[in-house]
Amino acid sequence: MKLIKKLLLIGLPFFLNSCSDFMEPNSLSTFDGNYIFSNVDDARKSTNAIYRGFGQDGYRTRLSITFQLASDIDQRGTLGSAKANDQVIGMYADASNADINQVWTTAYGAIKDCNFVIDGIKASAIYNSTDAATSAKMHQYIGEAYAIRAFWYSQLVYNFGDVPFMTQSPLTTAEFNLPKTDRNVILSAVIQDLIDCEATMGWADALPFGIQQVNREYVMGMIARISLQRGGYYLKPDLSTAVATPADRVKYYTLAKEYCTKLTQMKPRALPTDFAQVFKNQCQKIYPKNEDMLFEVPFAVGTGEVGYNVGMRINAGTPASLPYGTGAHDMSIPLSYFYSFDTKDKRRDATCGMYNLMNTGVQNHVAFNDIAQRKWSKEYCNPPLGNANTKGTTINWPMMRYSDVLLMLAESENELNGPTIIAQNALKLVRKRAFDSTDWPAKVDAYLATASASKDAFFNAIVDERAWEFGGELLRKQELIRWNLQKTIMTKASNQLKALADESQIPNNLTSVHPNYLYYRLDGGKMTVYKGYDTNDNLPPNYTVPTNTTLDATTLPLVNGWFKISWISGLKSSSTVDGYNDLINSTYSPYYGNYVRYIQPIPATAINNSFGVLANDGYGF
Amino acid sequence: MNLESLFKKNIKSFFSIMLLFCLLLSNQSRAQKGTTVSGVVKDETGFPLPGVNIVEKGTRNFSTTDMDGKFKVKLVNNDAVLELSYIGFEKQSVSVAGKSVINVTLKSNAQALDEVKIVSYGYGTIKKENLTGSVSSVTAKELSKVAVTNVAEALAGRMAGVTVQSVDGAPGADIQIRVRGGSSISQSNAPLYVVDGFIVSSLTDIPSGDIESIDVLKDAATTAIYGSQASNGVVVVTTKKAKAGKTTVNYNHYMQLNTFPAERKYDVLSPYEFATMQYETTAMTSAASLAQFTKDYGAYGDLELYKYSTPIDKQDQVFGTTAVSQFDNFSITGGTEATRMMLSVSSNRDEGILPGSGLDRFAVNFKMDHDISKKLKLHLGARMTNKEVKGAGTSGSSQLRVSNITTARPTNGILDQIVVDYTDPLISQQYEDFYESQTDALVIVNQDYRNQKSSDYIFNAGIDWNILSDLKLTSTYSSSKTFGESLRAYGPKTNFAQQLGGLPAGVKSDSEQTSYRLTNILTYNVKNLKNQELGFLLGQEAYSNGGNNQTVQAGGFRLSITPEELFSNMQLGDAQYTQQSTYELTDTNRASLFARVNYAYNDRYLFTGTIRRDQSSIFQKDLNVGYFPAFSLGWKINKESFMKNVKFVNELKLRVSYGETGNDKVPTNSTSLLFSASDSRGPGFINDVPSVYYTTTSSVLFNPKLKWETTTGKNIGLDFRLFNSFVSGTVEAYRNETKDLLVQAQISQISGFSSQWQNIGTTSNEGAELSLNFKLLDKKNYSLNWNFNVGINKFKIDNLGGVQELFLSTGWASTDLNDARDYYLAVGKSMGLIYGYKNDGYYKPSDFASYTGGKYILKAQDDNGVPLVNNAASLGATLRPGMMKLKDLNGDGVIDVSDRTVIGNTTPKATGGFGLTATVKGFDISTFFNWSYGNDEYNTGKIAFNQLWASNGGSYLNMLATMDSSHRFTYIDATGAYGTPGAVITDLTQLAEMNANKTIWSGNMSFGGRKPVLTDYAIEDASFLRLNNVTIGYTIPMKDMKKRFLSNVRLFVTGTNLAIWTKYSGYDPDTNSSRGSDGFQQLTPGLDFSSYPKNRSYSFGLNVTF
Repeated sequence: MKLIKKLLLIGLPFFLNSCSDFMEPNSLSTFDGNYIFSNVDDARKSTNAIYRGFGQDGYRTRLSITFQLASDIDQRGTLGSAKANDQVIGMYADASNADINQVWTTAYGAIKDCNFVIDGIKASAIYNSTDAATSAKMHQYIGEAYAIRAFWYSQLVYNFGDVPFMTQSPLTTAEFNLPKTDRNVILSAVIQDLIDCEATMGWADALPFGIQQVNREYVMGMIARISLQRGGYYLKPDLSTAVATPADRVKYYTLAKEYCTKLTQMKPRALPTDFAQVFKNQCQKIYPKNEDMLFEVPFAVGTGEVGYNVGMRINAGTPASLPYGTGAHDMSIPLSYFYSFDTKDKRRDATCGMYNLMNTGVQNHVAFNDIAQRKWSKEYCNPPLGNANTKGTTINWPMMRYSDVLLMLAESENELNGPTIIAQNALKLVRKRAFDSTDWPAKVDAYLATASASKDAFFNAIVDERAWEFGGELLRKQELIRWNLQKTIMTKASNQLKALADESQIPNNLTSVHPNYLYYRLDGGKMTVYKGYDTNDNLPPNYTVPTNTTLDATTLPLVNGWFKISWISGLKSSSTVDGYNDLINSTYSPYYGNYVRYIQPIPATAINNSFGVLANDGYGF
Repeated sequence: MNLESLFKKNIKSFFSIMLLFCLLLSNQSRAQKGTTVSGVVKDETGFPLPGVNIVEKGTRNFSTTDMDGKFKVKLVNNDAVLELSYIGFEKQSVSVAGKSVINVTLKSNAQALDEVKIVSYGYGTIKKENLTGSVSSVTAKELSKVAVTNVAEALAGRMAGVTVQSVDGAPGADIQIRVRGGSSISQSNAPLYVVDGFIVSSLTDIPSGDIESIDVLKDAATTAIYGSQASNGVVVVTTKKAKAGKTTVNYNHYMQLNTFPAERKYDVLSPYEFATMQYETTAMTSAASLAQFTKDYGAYGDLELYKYSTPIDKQDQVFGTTAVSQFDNFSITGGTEATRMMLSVSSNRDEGILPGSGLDRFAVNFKMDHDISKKLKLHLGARMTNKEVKGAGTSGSSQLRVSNITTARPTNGILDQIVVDYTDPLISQQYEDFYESQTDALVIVNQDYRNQKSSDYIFNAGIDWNILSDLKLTSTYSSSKTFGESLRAYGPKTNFAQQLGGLPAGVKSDSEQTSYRLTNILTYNVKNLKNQELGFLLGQEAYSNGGNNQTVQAGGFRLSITPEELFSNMQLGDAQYTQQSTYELTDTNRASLFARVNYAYNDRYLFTGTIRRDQSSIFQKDLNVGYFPAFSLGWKINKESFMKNVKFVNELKLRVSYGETGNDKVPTNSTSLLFSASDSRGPGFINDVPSVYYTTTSSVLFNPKLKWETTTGKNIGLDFRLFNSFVSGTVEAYRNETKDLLVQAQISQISGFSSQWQNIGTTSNEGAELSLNFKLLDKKNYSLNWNFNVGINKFKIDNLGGVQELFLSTGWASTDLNDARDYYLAVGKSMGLIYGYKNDGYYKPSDFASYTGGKYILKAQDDNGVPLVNNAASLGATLRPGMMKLKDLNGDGVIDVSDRTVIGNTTPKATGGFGLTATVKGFDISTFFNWSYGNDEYNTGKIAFNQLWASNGGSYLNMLATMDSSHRFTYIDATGAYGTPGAVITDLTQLAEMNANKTIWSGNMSFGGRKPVLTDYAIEDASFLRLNNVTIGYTIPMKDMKKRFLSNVRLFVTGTNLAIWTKYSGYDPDTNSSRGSDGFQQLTPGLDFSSYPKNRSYSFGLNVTF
């Protein structure tokens, strides 16, 4: 018995020990949800998580690019393929499409990050701290989370229609398998969130990361932008086109106007005169406050596709002799858009990239169907990104500009009260920057006089102006949706292209101003187009057409130092049934039907994992 | 070679060792006053036996025989009984009965030597004949026959029901052992590895030379004593023990030549076939690409020249070198009766056949036992391993792919034929462009430097305390520390470096893992029960595992930097690319109590019962305890009286068992919501440096309600030994059912997570096993043994927790595959089902109505009235005759994802092995075959290398010889039969004529550049029979050992992976590689993505004993 006692004494400490800490081990590298919102420094770090979604492929190449194509001002030619992104752009994706799944997952992942911050800060003791500075910071952080959550819901609604509305952290108590919620309910709710937090947010010039973090300006802009979405047109699950009720329309256009006005009054600013520089800033890591850019996605090293999937084409080539790396674009600017600009509009040159930079440092003219988005280029980067750089450009992506707020002000005012002086002045500010002051009488004042003739005329002017102002920024598709102009405008663009193609077929057409071919020369690697793009009297002197040479873009016959390439003549084709380049039909045929089903199916995994709660039961799926 | 034959051959040396051994012992003899008895002990042949133990029964009085077999004993009692015992001989008792001289002849007991096997069955050992559970064993003797670095490889096919699968043939590649199939559908089904009582993560660190035995515990009744973690079986490794006696030194060495098995090589298109294929492709693509082709390869009329050019054999360039590996093992055992030691030092230096790849390992194993007193014994052990794995291989996350090798162009075209005028900048540029357009495989290897070092230190100390003669306490404390260092450097051509400024970059990860284990075991054997035996075991165990890791990443190094320089000077990197993190892991702790009772009645009826209570820190407080009971019964039928006259039966035992085991194999922190800091893809607020943020510790959602997964296993087995041991073996059947599976369950993504840990679903395994051993010949100088085993296992998913089916993606083709979900799980089905399209040959010219306006117009039905469906969109190319055709399974007139179905099953129907061992005088020969039957392999190479998939890398890609123009549908008028030679034919009749005997579609024209398509064409029968190894050894006869320094010298030659018989067309049918992950893919087995070929190796070695 003595022995057994002894043994028990040896064994017991282990059992006793095992009951307490041993069974609940902790690591110093893990923190519970209360701790990470218990002080402002850690709360800032917790809030940083809500920007993580932007670094994912689901945002970088998918949502911010693929899902915003195509419109009258940006096109992608090769639709009809089985590639996931072509399926999305061409609106024939099925539920197994990988890109759709990626966007869905990234969106709800980012929403979850926002929900953690919102719930965490609300539960935190210092949210309403008596220390004003502490409380202000916590209100700023929660506001950032509300704004980014609103952004993702706005995007989900545009792309998927009615979606599940998840506003809770995935705690054990939360139900995280929700059915769809009406898009109007979602949008109203997120607008209200923004309105609630707006007043307690900091201005960019008072925040440490300025326009690289969500600020009060952006929140105001988002209230307006989502209000216009809420008050606009949309596709219902039964495929009918709906619009907000008259009361709602007034309510949300009023909200849009209210917050645009509020921003212009509380933080008025002059638009910087150099339009091109607004985007070069993003390449050159310049983040001016109280200027045009209100908020941009702060891409870090290793992330960001701007300059690689959106921007100028740079051929790093082999050997890679330039320090810039490879640049390309997933979509190009259609000729119809290029020619829609007033020839004196400075935005045309800043928006449309007409050359490809070869690895020899020489500029080559782009083909008629490959005009680049000139707003961004790795060529502008300072310091250059290095010759091997491909993706991961770190170039930031614009989320909201002041000119957008001005145009939303003009649009909402016009909708509510017609083309009043408020509406006109807002539009005027944007237009003025686009032209030299010498052109203002004709291009701004006279133009506005005509445009302000009626509410409709002014609305059309807004439609046009937004196209010119935001080319390459990939906002267009969603604007056309909320205006219910997708089909109209896309058909118009297609007709314009066809008209250009037809024009190229008229022999010796003296009335034509669009060149069939372009002739350009290289001087020190820099390209000069003979007589530019706006005359067809552009045959260089001493250019004799060589016999026996096929004149097409690929062979580039060099005659007396002039290269020749197809321009509007490229829009014709001898191998298609209707005689137009396949690009036109391929890009625009999805918009010719009775309705435009821009809604994407809910991904198959989301449906499978919902155990019967979700289904692709609307929108014609 | 068994001990007996060794004994006979080297009889004198053997005796002298034994004598020394006994002299050491004899100093303890304490003869008392009384009569002295003397005598001689001999064997049956009359040969005197030295060193025989002689004990006066019931006393501590004992003696041993001398070199001439003589002994003397002073007796304590006059009516004494002497007990004589000697290894290899039957024990004998002799009554003194007043005699003063006693001569004894001992009977040899060859059978006992051979068959009394001791098996480790968890916290103890048992005689195999008394075992009631299911255990398969491999001994050092068998392992010593195979020259392999990873001991797991040596186990392939050796044990019924135990399968060994490797990722691929790269040095240090992950090798997984599966015991009876495994139960989980989302987690590792690896068994528990226990080395000398300590749980380790794999067997890779243990040199085979150190191993005494490997016992695989297969049924739940046997594994239940291990409780949690044991549901997939337990592999118990016992390393060589410290032994008393004369100091013995062993030296083993082998040198190994590793080569690429030439007959496994892919046949690729010859230079001429390649050139005409590329001509066809470019001619049909565009005028511009044809013009470029003509520049690079010449005009069509000149392509004939390539018939005479020597192909560039990339496979030979990359894998062609013979790699040399070396192994040395040096071990010493010896000591006094009171203090015994064993030291073993092993060194491996393995080279892989891919330049720069290899594995170095240095291992030290030390054991010391010391008897402090009769009652108290001390055990000490230390095991240290340093390992370095070099090279990135070809699958997983490596940069080099087999496609870079197989689809490399076999000729450099015109540039190989002409003298390049470098002074002409245009020509020089063309030359540059051409070469740069396809990166050489060996260049890619150099872009991807990888080096993984690990150092393991395991120490254990234990005491045995014989409290009473029948009560023993064993306490053991073991601790282990593993330091890992993983270096990976990226060259400027890698995607990783390109995102960091395009200059060399490197990532260095260090990890430190610490674990300890404390065990106290009390054993009590009830004595004096006459014909019954009863033993109890009561144990307690505490186990803890934790660690920390840190990572530094830097980029922007100068181009000329070497990886070694880079990792010695990471501060030279550009500050903006530098990232670092440190992390402390949460400990995983377990506290357990267990008990076992063994009972035997009349040596006929055996019973073993165990119960274990495990408490795991992984689960929440109220759910963390699990109880795992088990029992097993054995019936030694041959001991029954009715079997007395059945002479041919030597042993016959029926075993039945039932047991439950648990599983807590989810990561720590899976049950609580915790956050940790990360900067991966964080916002670049300041200077584009990713800002740190708090995020959940896991991308799998936590679940506080998690509980133990339990497996219930039933086993019935029959052990037999018949015809005087001519045949022995085991036949077994089992059924295991696992419920409350710990699964990463897919959940609604609106939670922000894709999966959550849950207890859902049920799976079952049913199977049967047979192992047989035939002693065909057992003579003095000749012996011949044949062994054979086969295992059949059927895995079934019984419940998936509400859903009927789940799809999985391997992602081997990145996002290029039409529907990336290429694996399938469904209720009622097995695991590892491949999901894709059914191939339906190709479109015949007769399937088309006409060729108009540059387009082929498809008929509604083919000539047999079967409806024709256009699948061009799924293949991403233009519809034309000769294009691959897919089956419209649902008959809706459209080919889309709904036309996919299960096209392959990667689970084998049966696996097994067989081998022969023979001795002829001094020679010993052994061969071993292993095989697998009825499994499919997903051969991605059959897709990727038979089309011009852009991801294969570069321009002018080659294809496999399957796409030779004599087999492939072609479009070029080769001879000018229809007009101009080299013209593209579009006329349907002419196409039909040209392709009358073609058997396969056009690989180059059927698919878009980024459109690999998974059809059953890529699924191949991967059944195989492998001649795993052949060893021939020769033991040099040593006549007069006493005078020699050496006591035993054996020379041997081993060939490994000498031949493989299979229908599989890839490098090796037994691969489980993947893209992105370097380890074994649990859910998508049987994928062959860019697998590193398995070596064929030849080893030359020697074993020396001093």
